Amino acid sequence: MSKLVTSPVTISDALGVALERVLETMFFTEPIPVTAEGRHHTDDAHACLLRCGGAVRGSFGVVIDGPALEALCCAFYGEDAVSLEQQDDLIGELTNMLAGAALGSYLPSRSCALSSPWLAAAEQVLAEPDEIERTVEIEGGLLSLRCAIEVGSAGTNGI
Amino acid sequence: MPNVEAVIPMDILIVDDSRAMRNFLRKSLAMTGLAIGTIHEAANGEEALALLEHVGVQVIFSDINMPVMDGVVFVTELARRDMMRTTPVIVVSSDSSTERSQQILALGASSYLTKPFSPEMLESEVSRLLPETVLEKDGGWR
Repeated sequence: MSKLVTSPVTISDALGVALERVLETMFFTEPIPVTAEGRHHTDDAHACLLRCGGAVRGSFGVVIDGPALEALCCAFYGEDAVSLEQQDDLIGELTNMLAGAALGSYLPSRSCALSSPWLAAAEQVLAEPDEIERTVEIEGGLLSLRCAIEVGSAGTNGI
Repeated sequence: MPNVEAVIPMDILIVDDSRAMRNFLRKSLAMTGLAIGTIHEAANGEEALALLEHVGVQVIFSDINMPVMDGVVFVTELARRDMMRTTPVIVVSSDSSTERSQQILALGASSYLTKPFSPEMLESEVSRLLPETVLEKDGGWR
């Protein structure tokens, strides 16, 4: 990995900061960190991916247990019950916010272009072996934020 | 006794391709002490410009990354039409870089709000941008 800009925080720390800031501010949820050994997603886990370009190239992925997504969705919309469509919308927005917050902590002065998020199979997202990951426990289950990124030179763009 | 004048609630336009974020903004605004009138929604800049030909709003919230017409082109077009002189535009984005915020503010946007944000932050930004107005819990925009 060619790192042309020195960041004061590691990308792993940036993932942790992003999870804490986004979940506490927009979902009124306090996440509890989970070790890699304790990370076992349920079979009904949902997942979402997006690519980033510009100052940082790579991808971000989110995997979240079904009941946890439903609970987050209820908190976000302020409703007791939510539709599957609302949950699909939300995991996309969640992935976008987490990726943006992580990149903001990692390289606060450099702009990165984020693609539109797309739904994926949890197994596909979790199968990438070289990704950096942070997992937290929230109401309803686990939420994992993963990424594989590379810091590029200034002026590069495209996702 | 306070000088109570006719209260006109603020009409607002939310421009975002994400239904989830439009919904969240709508609910967050309702949680503030601001008097909110009609909240219009558009999924991209092109839809927003078409809507603004028929309705007037006091504040615009706009995302950046949108299909058809993104937030950068939308803000540029608002500036070209001289609409931001009278209507503050708050750009809402997950890109928290200084590079991006400086670019957007240079185009003429009134404010750059980074996700995640709270209802208190929304209220603070609107109050800052409309200092001549009276914003009260049970009052409104005068």
